[in-house]
Amino acid sequence: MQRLKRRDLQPWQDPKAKPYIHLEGVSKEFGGHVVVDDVTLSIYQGEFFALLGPSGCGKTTLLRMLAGFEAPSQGKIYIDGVDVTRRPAYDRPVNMMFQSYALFPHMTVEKNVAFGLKQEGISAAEMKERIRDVLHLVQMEKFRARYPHQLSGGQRQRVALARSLVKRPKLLLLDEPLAALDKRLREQTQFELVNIQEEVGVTFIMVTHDQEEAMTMASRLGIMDHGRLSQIGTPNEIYEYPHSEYVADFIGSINKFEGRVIEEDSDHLLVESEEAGCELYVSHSTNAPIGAQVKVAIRPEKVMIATSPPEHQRNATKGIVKDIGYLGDVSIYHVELSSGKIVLATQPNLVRLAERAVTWEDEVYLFWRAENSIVLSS
Amino acid sequence: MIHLPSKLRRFLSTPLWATVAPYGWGLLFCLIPFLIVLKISLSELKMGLPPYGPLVEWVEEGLLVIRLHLGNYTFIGTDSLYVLSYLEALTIALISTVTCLLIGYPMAYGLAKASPSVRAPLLMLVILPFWTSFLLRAYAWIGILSPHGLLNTALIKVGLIHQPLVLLDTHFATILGIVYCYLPFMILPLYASLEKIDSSLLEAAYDLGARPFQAFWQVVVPLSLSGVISGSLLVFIPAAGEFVIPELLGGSQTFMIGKVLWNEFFTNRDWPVAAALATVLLAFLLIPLAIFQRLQERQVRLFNA
Amino acid sequence: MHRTLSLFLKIWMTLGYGFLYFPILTLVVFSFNASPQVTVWHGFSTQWYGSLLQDTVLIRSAFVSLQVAVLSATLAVVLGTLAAVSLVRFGKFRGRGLFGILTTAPLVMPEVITGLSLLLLFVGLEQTFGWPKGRGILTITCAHTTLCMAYVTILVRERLADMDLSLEEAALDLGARPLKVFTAITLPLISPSLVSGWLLAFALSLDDVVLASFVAGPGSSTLPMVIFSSIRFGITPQINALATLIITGVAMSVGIAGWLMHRRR
Repeated sequence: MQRLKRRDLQPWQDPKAKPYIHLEGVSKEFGGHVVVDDVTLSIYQGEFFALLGPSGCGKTTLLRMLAGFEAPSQGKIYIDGVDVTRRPAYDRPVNMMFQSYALFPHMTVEKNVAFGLKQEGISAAEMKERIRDVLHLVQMEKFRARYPHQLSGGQRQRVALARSLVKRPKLLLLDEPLAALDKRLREQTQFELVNIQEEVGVTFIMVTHDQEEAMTMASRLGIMDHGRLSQIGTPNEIYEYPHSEYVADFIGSINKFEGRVIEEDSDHLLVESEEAGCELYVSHSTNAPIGAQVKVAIRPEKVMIATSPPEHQRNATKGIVKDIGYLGDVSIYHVELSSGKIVLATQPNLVRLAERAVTWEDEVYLFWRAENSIVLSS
Repeated sequence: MIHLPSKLRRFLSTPLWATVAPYGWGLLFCLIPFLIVLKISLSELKMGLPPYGPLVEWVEEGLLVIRLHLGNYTFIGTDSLYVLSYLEALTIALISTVTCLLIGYPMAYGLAKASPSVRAPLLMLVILPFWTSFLLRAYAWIGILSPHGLLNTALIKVGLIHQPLVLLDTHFATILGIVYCYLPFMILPLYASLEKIDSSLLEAAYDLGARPFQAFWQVVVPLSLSGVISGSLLVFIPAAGEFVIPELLGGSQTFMIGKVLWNEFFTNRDWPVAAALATVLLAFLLIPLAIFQRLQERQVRLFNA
Repeated sequence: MHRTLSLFLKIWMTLGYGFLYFPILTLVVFSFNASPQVTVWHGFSTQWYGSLLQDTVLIRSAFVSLQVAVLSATLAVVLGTLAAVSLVRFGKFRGRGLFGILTTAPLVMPEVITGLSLLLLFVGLEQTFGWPKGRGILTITCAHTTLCMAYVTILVRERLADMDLSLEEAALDLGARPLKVFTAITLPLISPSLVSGWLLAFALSLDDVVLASFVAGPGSSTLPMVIFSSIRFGITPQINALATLIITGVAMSVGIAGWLMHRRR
């Protein structure tokens, strides 16, 4: 199988590329309550796509519709060009890794992995080979005769992955694949899962509420909010250029200033903001007319702190340090502006705590570069 | 492979056909029999077999006549024997249920509190009599309660009494027998509901300053209410129609309705009156039965074994 | 836990278990009594066990009861399992409410009502369709199946409710059709409750006297019917011996079932 590297693979930018998985206006209602609302989404072969959102946003229902456990109230689902909307779960080239792993407790590891192949009626020799290969892939050969209750959480996760991969599905669905693992194991497993996905080349769709997990593993993310897809993009696009306040708030933390547009050009926007206590200069075009109320946002790690005033007037303000959150590698400064607005600024701890120049109740200057701020639609 | 028509295939792949057999069984052996009881309770006693007259009759000239005979019900309502039997059955069932609850609740609570290693064998010891013959367990009390039985012999030997007490063939013996036989039916649902209660809830109550009794009364009791209700219904409903226990232990003074119905049917061979008695008993039990069914719908645990 | 409370519970439980087991114990002890008197001990003897073997009426009725118990326990497990699966897994369907009532109401229904209504059904069926011809093992089996099915339905339903639904979904997802999912996943996982359901149904059928009295015909008396007619006239050590045998049998099967379920976990 051809090995694809993440950086080679950006088919969504190629207008000629054909989507492998396509959802067309998919909606789902449960008793008059809309859980998934008109979702249209294209995913390309070999992608690792993550659906991210808070609990109850409809991401799991969307996944279950792809698996065939729920039928959409409206819309169509295509896999490799075939309409599978009305196909039952057992008749789809799709497999799922369950949050609880759903390993059959009365079967050994080997029997669990063999279960799916038995339903296909393939030869015993081929079955044996495929089971051996997949158990090798997840490094579980030694445990083939064990029962699920004799395995650790991490081992169960591997068996669940092996069981769904052995069928060579066109699409693998992962429902919160790492939620049952502890933090340290989770971080390690993230990279393993990505490596395995690159090795087998199967298209993955993962559902998670953990933004860090989604950012690390996925080639693209879809942020869901109340059944709708708010934004689709690479982790970098989602983080740096969130389209909406919802997405900006959901991923990481962000400072927002309300203001009024006073100057608009093709390469910049100038916003007057009482809240920020300065004029805000945003160096990319946004179609906001003069006089419009907008919100300008800046990530905390892009805000710089100084004890002396910076040279420029725009994107620079001052305030008093009210709180310092020490996280070891970085510290988060909570700075109160004269408007009462609290601005967060993250600084790496380049020197030891005792030698730090800025401390509680100090007056500091905050500033950032024009290209780092963005304008949010509300 | 046989090619099946698509409609049939779809029918076989929707698993609802599995419902057909138990549904059919329930309709035939549960619903229809009750309709027949209702029908016969409205017909007249007749000599012969079956000993009741038809409700619907073709009279000459093709005239269809439906005769609803309410005589059986007015007969039951006016004969004080029947009225008293119903009252006695319901009273004895109620007293037995409350006694079962008073004995069973601390036992179930103790079971739920017991350490896991002893809990399984203790639970088994409750289930065991539940599985053992009702008849033989009621019978065992005859040997204990009879005038020359174990209890009287022992009491006389100790010197507490000089004449044997009349224990057998009394209401007391009936209630004792019902409590004894139905106690596991009370303990099992109680245990199922008590076992689910998170012990940290009690700790939280203590932490907030509740004394042990307050914590128990305000936290444990409300949370075990579903067990209390289902256990009480499992005792009350069948006990109200009990026949074997009053027959063996209650003697000639006890007129529980189950016994009266049995005699009406087997001794007097009056099927219509027996059917009317059953219908009225069922009417009395309709509300408890409806509550029981509600709990079933809400999947309240009964056995959790 | 609070000290006095825990002490109270211990004493109460000891008394409670004593109450549950003392009468059974007296049955067992006096079955080995040499004298036909049941209240005074006259020395150890196993003569009553020997005399059981010579009682042909008893043995014939025991044979009838065993036949009925095996048949109705098996039928009840099949029907009760299907009913439980329908109730727990099929969601809402038309007539589900009535279905729930029909399958579980016999559990609490007073036996005289069930017995009377079933007899009237069999009489009515015979009059209208000429079937079942007379009453006997067939009609008793039908009656017992109706009662036992309710117990099995509830046992299996509780087990199914505990089972992770995603196990069955995983099997569907791996390509197994619904029937295959049921036989390969659901059935093995609920098998402990099927075993205990069968044993419970067997014990219930072997114990029932009321339903059987209503729907039995001449010559098809069950063991409890024979026992009942003899103990109405007082107690005999022979019945004590029989009771001991039955109780030992039940205790052993419950013990084995419990051990099997324990080992599976």
